[in-house]
Amino acid sequence: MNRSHEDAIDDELRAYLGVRAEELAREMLRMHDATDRLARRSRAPRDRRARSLAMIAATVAGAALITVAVVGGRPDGEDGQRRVGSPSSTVEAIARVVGIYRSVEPLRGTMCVAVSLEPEAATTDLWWWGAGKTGCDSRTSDVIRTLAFRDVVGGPRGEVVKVSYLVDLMTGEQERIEFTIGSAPAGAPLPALITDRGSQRELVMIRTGDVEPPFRPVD
Amino acid sequence: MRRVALLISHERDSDLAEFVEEHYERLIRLAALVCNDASEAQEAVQNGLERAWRKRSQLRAQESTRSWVDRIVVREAIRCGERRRSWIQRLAPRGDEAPETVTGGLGVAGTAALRLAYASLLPRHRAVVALHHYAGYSVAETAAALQLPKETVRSRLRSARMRMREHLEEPIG
Repeated sequence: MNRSHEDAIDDELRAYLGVRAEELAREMLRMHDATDRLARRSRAPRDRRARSLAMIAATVAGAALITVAVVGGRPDGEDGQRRVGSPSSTVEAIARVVGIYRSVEPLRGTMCVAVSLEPEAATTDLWWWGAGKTGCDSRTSDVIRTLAFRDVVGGPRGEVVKVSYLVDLMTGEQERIEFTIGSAPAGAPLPALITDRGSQRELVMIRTGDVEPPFRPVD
Repeated sequence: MRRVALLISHERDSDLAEFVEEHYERLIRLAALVCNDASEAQEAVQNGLERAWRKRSQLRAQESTRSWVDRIVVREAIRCGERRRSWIQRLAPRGDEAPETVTGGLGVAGTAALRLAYASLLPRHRAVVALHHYAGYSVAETAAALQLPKETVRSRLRSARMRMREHLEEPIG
């Protein structure tokens, strides 16, 4: 590693530490808010019953709404096309790839990615971890969760599903990361193309129920 | 004589209180970078400041309050992985519900790679990186703060850089 390369990495690291320190400080503020709320709740036992009842009512109402959304969003639902607002072939393609998919191989150095594909969600999760001894089905690091705002769902004729995520930058701009996912029979591995700042990489993604694979450090 | 010592002690108390008031947020950020975790950082700072307060008589006149308190807090933060979080901290949201920020030229995947590389460092290595690259300590000052040989500090900085390079160098395409 030559001197200028070392300096470049140090610069990236310094920029990252500044951003990370602010992120952690904000996280602490959010925790304080939550802790205050919990403390207030424990100080008001008489209110607790009423709040619990309200919470139960809200949960029941929420469950009803979720059921409506899932039934309404199903491709074989009566108005599935209208809700998604895309050609029916796209709706079917999306329906086939609903769930959490992870890369089989690392995509950058040792980095693995998983993405949640839901047909109508405005936000979604991306998960990242360092590949473990056996690849992306194990890990050497914590799993990092990134919430992203999804702004495009669709693709030509249902052959491909393009999902584009926008992440807010510190500068006020937004960064786009894009997955172009080919359709495949339910449960089969999906060919995918990931684009980030103009670079592209082909990946194979498989369905997974667990975004926290076992910790298996590399020897 | 006793009166003088008492006066010095009062001065030291008020200096320390003033220092904490002024530097609390910086200490929180520094500890958070070492722990790489907000809730553990808070505990580390609390424990560190408590320890500093108890040991305030050991603060030598020629030593800067900043490096003395930083050293105690960072050492406490290095132990962060060993502490168990209290139930209330476990109940509180961890903050991963907010959109992540991305550093300048790296893109989303690049920033995630950097996060992974940083998270994979041991807390004692993160302490060296945070003091040198974030708090602006020189290699010699970092070595003094952590009571390590300068060569160990250089070697930890090199090893952190290598880890970053492993994660960053391979382009997506």
